[in-house]
Amino acid sequence: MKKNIVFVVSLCIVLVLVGIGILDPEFLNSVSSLLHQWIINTFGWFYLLSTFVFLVFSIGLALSRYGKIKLGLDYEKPQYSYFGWFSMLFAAGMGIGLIFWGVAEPVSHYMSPPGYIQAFSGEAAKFAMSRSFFHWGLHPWAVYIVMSLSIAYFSFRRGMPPLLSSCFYPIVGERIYGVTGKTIDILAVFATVFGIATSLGLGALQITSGLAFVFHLPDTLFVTAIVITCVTVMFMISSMTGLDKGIQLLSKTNIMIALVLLVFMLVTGPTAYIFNVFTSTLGDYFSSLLSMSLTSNPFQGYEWTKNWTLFYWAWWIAWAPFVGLFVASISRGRTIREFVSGALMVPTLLTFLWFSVFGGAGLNLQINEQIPISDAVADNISTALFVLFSHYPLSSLLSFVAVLLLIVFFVTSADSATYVLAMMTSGGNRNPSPAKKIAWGVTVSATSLILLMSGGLESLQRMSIAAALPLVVIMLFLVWCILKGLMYEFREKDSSL
Amino acid sequence: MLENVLFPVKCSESLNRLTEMAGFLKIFNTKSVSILHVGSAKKEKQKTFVEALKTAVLNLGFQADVTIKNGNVVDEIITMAREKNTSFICFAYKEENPLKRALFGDVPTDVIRLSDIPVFVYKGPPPFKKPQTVSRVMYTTGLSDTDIKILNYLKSKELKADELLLFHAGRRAPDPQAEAERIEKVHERLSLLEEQCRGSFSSIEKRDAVGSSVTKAIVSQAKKADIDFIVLGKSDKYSPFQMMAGSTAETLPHKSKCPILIVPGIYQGIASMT
Repeated sequence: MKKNIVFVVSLCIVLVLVGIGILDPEFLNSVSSLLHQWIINTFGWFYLLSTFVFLVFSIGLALSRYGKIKLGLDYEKPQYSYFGWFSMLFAAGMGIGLIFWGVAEPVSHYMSPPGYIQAFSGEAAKFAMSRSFFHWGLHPWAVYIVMSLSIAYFSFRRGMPPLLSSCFYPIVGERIYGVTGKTIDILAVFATVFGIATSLGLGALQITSGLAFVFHLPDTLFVTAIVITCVTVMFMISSMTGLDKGIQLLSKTNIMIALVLLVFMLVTGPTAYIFNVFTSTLGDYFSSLLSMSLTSNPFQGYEWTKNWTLFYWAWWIAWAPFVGLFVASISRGRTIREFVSGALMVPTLLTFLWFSVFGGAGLNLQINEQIPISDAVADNISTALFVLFSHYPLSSLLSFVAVLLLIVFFVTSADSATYVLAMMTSGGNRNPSPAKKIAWGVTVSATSLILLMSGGLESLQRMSIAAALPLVVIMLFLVWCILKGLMYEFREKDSSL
Repeated sequence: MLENVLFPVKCSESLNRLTEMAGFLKIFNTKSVSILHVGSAKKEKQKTFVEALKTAVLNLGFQADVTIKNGNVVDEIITMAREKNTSFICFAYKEENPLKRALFGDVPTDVIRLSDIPVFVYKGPPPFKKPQTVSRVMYTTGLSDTDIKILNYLKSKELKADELLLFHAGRRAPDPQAEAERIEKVHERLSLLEEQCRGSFSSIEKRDAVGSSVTKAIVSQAKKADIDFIVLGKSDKYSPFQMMAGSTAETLPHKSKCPILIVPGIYQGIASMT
């Protein structure tokens, strides 16, 4: 029992909250709304500041003398090739979200920017693209880097179990094995379960919309339930084959499909326009990085910042334990410099290209060809991508490929989440038992499905975002812990105690 | 070794307390006291005060001289210590409001930071307690090169103390195995120090602690072990936090309940005794 305390307690918390969501979704909705609003209103600035600190810290660490330190023993070599590593980074970190928001987010910002910008104007389009870059660019990866770097350093270099609590040894010492450590791990499990359940629920809705577009299936909850069931079976099979085979293979396949789709859209779409969007937005992004990082628009447009930027920041932080643990587990043997620069630059560049191609194509339809794609976004945000495809050659094939991408990203996210949850609740065992993987896989899918049907999915998302508040504090301590660990290495070299 | 002392005083200080501190200096076998007052020499009250103190010091068997100067207090103390080639500087600690200290600064803290000779901070006995005697000394070691210099002082026959506590407060290693190795190394080094001090004290004890605040650990250990006097080395390497909040040597006098001798690492006076 004591050995499985994290597993039992976190499973109980999840079941209680899911139970409330089934029995009284209204109650869960009002409580979660209140909590979410209070946190975002009161601590929004804290999220902004902390995320900026994570970015500065990551870049500073990579450039410092600590950049040479390996996430593993000095003689160890990276376990995965660059392509395998980047594919898995991307698939676990934000693959499914990019497909969902690639068209929808820029178009949403274009039609509903903050109050100080006129909607449907050139300024709104510029704003829409730079904010999409901002929300999906360097900052989310900096959040992931802080988490994954800490876990990788303390587990691979310092020989501790790959758990969030292990990173706190320099501060709390042996108490990581007590209540303090278990509480940290339970919080990480809680945020991961609810984060992944929400994401899977939203992903399933988009797959259903895609299937309705391609195969004219009814866009109903029943079809969504079938989608979730099928995908659950798929990710459970992938999960049983282990990290080396299942996730890696699926991630590589997915990245290749995504790249093919990207290139196709670039070539058949308004190529020059897309490159113009890419270069201009890149310039805007870097020139206004500091102001974007720290602006919450307190005078006008704070609502917009709350609904988008602060929501994203809380979301990335809530996802950080899952992505952090997963990314850590695939990054053994890399130096800190290689890890930070790779995780910060490559996925960000790919994300920028993705938004330029899909967001740029969406804005081109809206602005230059007078096709109101914004109506589709306003009507049903998950159909935006398919509406865009309908104006391109081979639209059915493109929609089919997009659905396939969604399913595979869905499977890789759920697969890696199941692996991470089983590892977190097995005391950091890198080969958790299949029973635990099945238990978490079923729990996550069932949670997603039940709450989708009872209408409690958004409440769950808000609860997971509420968990971001303690997590951001934990992450600031992580920065301190990793610095203490790295400084110790150099102190040890100087043989001063 | 600590034969002549620079004794900066203020007229607002209690004459009895300063005389009590001068008496305490006998444990160092100090011979001469240079009293320094930085302020306006025209004020009769100040002249009378320092002359009265000189008389009290002479009565205790020290040689004494008085200097009254104008200017920046800290600069004048440091300059005078250099000019007179004094062995150390001593202060009678006076409790100040932390806010006042933060706003207006604090002479002993600045002198500790700037001085390249030892600084002694006297903390009188608590009210209604008899004057302090030095029976138990605690040397808080950073297990660095400063040890070599301070060892000579600890081993000198002039320090009249019976028992020595060698104490090290360190920072925890990043993992349990490294922590076990660190503790082992600490014990080894403390044993080495113990070996070198053997014969100079009737008993030597070794202790270590872990924590992020070295000052807190020292104060707590001194209280637990009923220490009469603390000897501390001063490092010239500052962490970013120490740059803002002050080093252990600078903060300890404000927290400790017993007298402290702070010895800078670069102190040549002690090094030359080796």
